[in-house]
Amino acid sequence: MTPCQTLTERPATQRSLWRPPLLVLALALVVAAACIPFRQEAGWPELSALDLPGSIYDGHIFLTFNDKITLIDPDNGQAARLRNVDGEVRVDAEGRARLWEFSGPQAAPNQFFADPLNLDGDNLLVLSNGERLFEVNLARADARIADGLELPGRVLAAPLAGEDLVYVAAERSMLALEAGSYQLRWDFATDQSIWSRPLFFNGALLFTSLDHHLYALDPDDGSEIWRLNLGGAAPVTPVEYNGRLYTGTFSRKIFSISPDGKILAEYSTEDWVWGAPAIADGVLYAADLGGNVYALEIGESNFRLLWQAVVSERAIRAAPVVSGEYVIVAGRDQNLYWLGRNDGRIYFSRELVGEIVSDMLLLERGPDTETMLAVSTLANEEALVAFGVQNGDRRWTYSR
Amino acid sequence: MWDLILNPFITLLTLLYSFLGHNVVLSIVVFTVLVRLAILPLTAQQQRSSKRMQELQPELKKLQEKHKNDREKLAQEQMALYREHGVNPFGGCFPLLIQFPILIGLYQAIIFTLAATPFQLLDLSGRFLLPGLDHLVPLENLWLGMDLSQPPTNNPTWALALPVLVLVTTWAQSKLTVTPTPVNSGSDGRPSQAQAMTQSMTTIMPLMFGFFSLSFSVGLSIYFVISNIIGIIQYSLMGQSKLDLRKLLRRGLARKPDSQDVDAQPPVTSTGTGRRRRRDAGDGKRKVKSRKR
Repeated sequence: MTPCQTLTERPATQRSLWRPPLLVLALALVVAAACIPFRQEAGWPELSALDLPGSIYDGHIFLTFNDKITLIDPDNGQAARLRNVDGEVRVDAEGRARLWEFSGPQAAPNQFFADPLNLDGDNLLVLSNGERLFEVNLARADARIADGLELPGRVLAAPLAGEDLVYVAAERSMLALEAGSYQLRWDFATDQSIWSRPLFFNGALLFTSLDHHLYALDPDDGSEIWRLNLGGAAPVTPVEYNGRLYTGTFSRKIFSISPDGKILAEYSTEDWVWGAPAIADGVLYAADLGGNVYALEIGESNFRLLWQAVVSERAIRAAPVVSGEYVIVAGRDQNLYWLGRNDGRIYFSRELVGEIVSDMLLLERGPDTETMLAVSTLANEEALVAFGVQNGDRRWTYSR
Repeated sequence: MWDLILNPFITLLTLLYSFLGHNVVLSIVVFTVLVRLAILPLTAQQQRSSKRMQELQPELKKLQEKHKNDREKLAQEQMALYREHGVNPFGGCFPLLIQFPILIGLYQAIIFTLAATPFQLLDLSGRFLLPGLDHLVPLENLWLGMDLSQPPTNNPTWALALPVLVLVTTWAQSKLTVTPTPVNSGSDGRPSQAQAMTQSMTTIMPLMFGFFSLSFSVGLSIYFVISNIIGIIQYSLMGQSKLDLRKLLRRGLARKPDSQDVDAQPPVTSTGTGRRRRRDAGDGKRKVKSRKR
């Protein structure tokens, strides 16, 4: 880069105004600022509810994002207090109540974007984007091996537990690890990263990959049963409904797939589909990154469009949620929208402080308790917000 | 607004990737060459403007000496001199300013296209201006065992050669492209602001880019190296001179002349070409050495 020549002939009396090294440093900072407008986080918050009847933490919400995993009490939106087996609150050296948080070893900070897996009621399997695996005791919120075990790649997808194996997607490989010892039983390589949680379907281990394929493997030995090319990157776990699988991809299509890996029906969308579809009463609801929402009637060999609505000014990444008469979608435009299931009309919406990218979570806590919708945003002040699912009233807000 | 630059670049890079056998490094190379060719008229104009200003340096120096106590008069005389020679003192800056967002857009396009995380991929959506490119996403970012979307520190050891290459090529380009400011200087005998600026640029910029390359993705480092090499070739050709690396190294390693020595040099007269300017600078250094002996 050539400095502008006009700087060269300033009178000596003005020189004090010009400090060349400082000027170059300022230029360097401008270049640096222009170079690094990108987020430091690889992914977004993940939400999951702990299904552990009888436990004091049953129904609590895991908020997994970036440097830590926090357990949230769904009754009040506060970080859960760490309790011993007798239910007493654990305190730190200064007598303050300890909160249920896990962030891995202090010396080697980790990033967490994958939901923890409840192994046996006492322990959780936690995977980090820093290529580590931790077995975390639920009662103490600490790892059995403080530094964890090394994995061959970064992890963005939640693991799945089998009978004696756990399945972990580490970058471009699906790993089968023996429960407890975490020794590698088998691995299966793909051409691109795996960002979706695997699932069992029809006796096979299924998962999608960014290499465009849906894979079905034998869960015992990792041998391939079939693979299906979906024509575009597939970042999400398919949804099972009435013996079929449904998923969307970056090929701008939504597919209906048979148990043996054949495409039965497809529907073209306006933009990439990232969020998993929601299905209720034979109707599939899906959203795309162009901000469109679709309601498709599922036929034997086709989809029939019931309605399509342009809802959000920005992408809709999160999977839609169906509750009662509404289908609820969340956009990167920081809004939640309640659409009528029958007509796609926006009945009401709620604006939040941050972008909504994460999948939402329905909190159904019994027949006498109001069902709530937990929504995570990228803004620290609204890290997690709970709404009444039928009226959109805000119940509580958790700030990070 | 920024998307006006970024989206066509992302589309072009992805298009090249589809034509060039899904080789992302080759695509980055061709992409960089194409963009640098597109802004060649701007670069040439900047170079010409720099040259004209360079040719006026002796006379500007005389004016500075003559009106060193009258800033207003000095400014008037300088403007008159510029008018007389048909030189716009900002002529070198405007092309530079126009190039800047283009070059930033160029390497941002590389970062976007190499999308390796969910957030990066999410930000890539909706940026293709041509249909039919969706199926290429995500681009294959493994090359020679390196993950192009990761910094050298997260890659095999040999990836650390890239920051070194970035540093060396940035330094080499700086040495070639930063116009050597003539002699010195002000009445106090210290190096002029231009000289100080030039010295800072040629020292800090390579170090800065080398350092940044440690934390930037390997793909970006490849872009920096390619871009620097293209810049070196381009400026060598513009100067109608063959690239003389030995001379370049001598210039880089030689001790800087002190102000007294510089004062003793004859003022640089009309230089004509880049080769002539470099030869003049080289002569200056030889004189310094002979005086020392």
